[in-house]
Amino acid sequence: MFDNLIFAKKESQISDKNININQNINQNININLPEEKEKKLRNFSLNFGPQHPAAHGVLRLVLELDGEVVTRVDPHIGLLHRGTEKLIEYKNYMQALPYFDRLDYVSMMAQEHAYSLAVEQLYSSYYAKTLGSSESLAFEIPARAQYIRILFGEITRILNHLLAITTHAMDVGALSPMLWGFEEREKLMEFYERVSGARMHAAYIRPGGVAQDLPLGLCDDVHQFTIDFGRRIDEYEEMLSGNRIWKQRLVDIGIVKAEEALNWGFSGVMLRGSGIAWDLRKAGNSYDRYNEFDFNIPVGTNGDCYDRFLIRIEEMRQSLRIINQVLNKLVPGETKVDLRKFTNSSNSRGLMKTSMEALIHHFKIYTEGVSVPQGEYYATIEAPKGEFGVFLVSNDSPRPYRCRIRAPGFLHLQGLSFMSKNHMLADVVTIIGTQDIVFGEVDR
Amino acid sequence: MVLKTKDKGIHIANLIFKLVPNLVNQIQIVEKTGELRILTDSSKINNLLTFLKNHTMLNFHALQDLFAIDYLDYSFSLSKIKSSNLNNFTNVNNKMGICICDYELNKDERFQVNYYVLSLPYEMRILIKVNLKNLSFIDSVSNIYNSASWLEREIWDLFGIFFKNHPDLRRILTDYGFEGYALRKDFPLSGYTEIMYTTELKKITVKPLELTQEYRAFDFVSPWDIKKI
Repeated sequence: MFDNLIFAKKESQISDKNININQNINQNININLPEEKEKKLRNFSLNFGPQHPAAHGVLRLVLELDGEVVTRVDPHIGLLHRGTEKLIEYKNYMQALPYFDRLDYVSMMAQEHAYSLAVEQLYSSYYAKTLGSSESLAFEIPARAQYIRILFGEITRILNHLLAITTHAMDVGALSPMLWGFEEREKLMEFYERVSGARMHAAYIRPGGVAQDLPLGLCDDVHQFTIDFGRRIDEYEEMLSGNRIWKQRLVDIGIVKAEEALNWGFSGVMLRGSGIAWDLRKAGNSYDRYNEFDFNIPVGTNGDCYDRFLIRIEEMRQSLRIINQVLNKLVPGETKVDLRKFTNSSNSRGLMKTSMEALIHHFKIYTEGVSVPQGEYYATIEAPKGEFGVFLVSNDSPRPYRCRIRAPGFLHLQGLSFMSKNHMLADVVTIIGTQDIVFGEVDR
Repeated sequence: MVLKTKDKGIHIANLIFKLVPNLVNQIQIVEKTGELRILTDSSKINNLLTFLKNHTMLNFHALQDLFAIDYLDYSFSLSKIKSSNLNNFTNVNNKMGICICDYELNKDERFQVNYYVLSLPYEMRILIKVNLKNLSFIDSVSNIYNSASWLEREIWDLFGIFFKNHPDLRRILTDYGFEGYALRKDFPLSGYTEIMYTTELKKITVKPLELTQEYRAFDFVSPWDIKKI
C-alpha cells in the first residue's frame, strides 16, 4: 500500500487495523474490537534544502507537514555566516565599512548609512568634550552630504523593493516582472557606478559624509529616471495588483496581527502591513534631515501578503517623491565634515603634495586609522527591509571593540513558523518572499 | 504635552525609579536621543522586562535586539560611578559627552547581555544591561517577548551564555559540528580547525588549522598619545 513506501514517515493507522482484523479472522474467535493502542502520529518531515530556487539564498527549512498543510517550520540558517562581527573587530573603522555593503547585498547604501551614523555619533561626543561646548557646536555633517545620503537612501529603497517584489512574483509564478524589474535595477546601479565606481558594493556613504561629490550630469539623469519610473511601477501594478491569480495566492496568506508583529520584533513593511504606522524616517526618530521632506507612509489593514505587496509598491512611489524633492533641494557645499583628523578631504590627493599637514593627516588616517574615543552607541535607520541597527562599542583605538549588527531579516525569518502555520506548502514560499529575506544580513 | 527627547527620558526614568526601585541598579541617559541605559542584575531582568512591557505608561512592547558583549580586553579608563547608588540616577552629559559608557564591570564579570526595548507610542528606547560572570546563566525572556528566542540562541551559539527555560536552545549560526564559542575574545579570528574534502577518503574532514601566513594586525600605539582626558 502507499503507506508503506519509504519516503512517507507518517505512521498510518489503516495498515494496523488491517492486521488486527486479519488476525481475528484467522483465529476464528468471536470478533473483538481491535484494541485501541496509543499510536504516535508523526508528521511528514520534509527538507526544503539549502539549494532551492525559491529559497532566496541559502535557507534550509525543515518542514513538518500534515499532508499539504504545514504544521511546523524550522529554519536552519547560518549557511552564509561569514563572521562579519568578529572580522570587524580586527579592522579599522574605514576598513570595516565595506562589510556593511555586503550584509544586505540588494540594498547596499542603507547599511553603510547606519554604520556611518554610529561612528559619527561616537566621534562627535569626543569633539564636544574637547571643545567643552554644548551640543550645538558638536560636529555636523554638511547639508549637501546629508541630502546626497537621502538621495541614495531612496534610490536604494527603490532598488530593494524592485528586487523584493519581482523575485516574490517569480517565486509565486509570475516570471516576467522579475526581468522588467532587473532592467530598472540596472539603471539605478548605473547611478551607483557613476557616483562611487562600483555597481553594487559602493562604499560611498562613509563616516563624515560621502566619499566624493556627485559627478556632473548625474542629477539630470536621476530626474529623467524619476520621470520614466512612474510608468514602470504602473506596469507592475497592471500585471499583478488586479490579477485574480495573484490575489488568490496572496490575500489572507501569512496574516500577522499587530500585537504579534510587535512581539516577534518585526519592523519596516512587516509592521506597517499589520496596521502600525511606524517609520523611522518620520517624527522623533528621523535622522539626516528626513524631516525636511514631505512624504507619506502606506499602512496596511489586513496584515496579509497582499497588503505588504501593495505597501512596497506605494513606497516606491513615495521614494520617487522624496528623490524629486531632494533634487530640488541640493545645495552646493562640502561633502565631508571639515575635520581633517576624522576624514580626508575630497581633494586630499592633491593637497598632500603641497601641504605638510595634509600629508600627515593622510598618512595617519590611512595607516593607523581614526582613533574613536571610548563609548557606545546604537544607531538605527529605516532600511528598506525594516529597522537596521548598528551598535558600536569603541575603545579609544582605531578598531571597534564590538560591532553588533541588528538585521531585520533575522527577526522576520524567526516569525516564519507562526506565519505559515496551517498554510499549505506553496504558501511557505509566498511568505518567505513577502518577508523580504536576504541571507547576507540574516547570517552576517 | 510634547516633551523634548531628553526630558522625556528623564520623565520615564523617574517613573521607573518611583515604581520599581528594587529592580534597577542605576539608570543613565544618553543626551542626544534621550535613550536610557538601565543597569540591573540577572535575577531581576525577567521582572523588569515584564514591568516595562505591560505598564500602560511605559508600553515597551517590542524587543528590538538582544546581544552580548565580551569585556575581556576592555579597559575602562574613565572614572566610573559604582553601581551601588539606588536613589539618584546620573545624568552624565554635562561634562563628559554624549555617549560615554559610564559603568564598569567587576573583576570577575566578563559578559554583558543587553536588551534593547522600544516603546512605539512613546517613541522611547531603553538599553538594559546585565553583567554576567564567566560560567553564569541567565533567565530566558522568550516567554515575555517571542523575538528573544532566536536572539538568545545566537548568544548561546557565539558566546556560550546559557539561558534557563529557553524552549529550544541550540546552535543557529555556526556549522553543525562546530566547537567553541566564536565571538568570545579568546577565540582566535581564524579559529582552531579547517575543513576540507579529502578525495582519498571521499568525505569532509576536519583538521587543525594550518596557515601559511598569520593575520597581520598592526598595533599602532603612539607614545605621544594624549587622548586621556
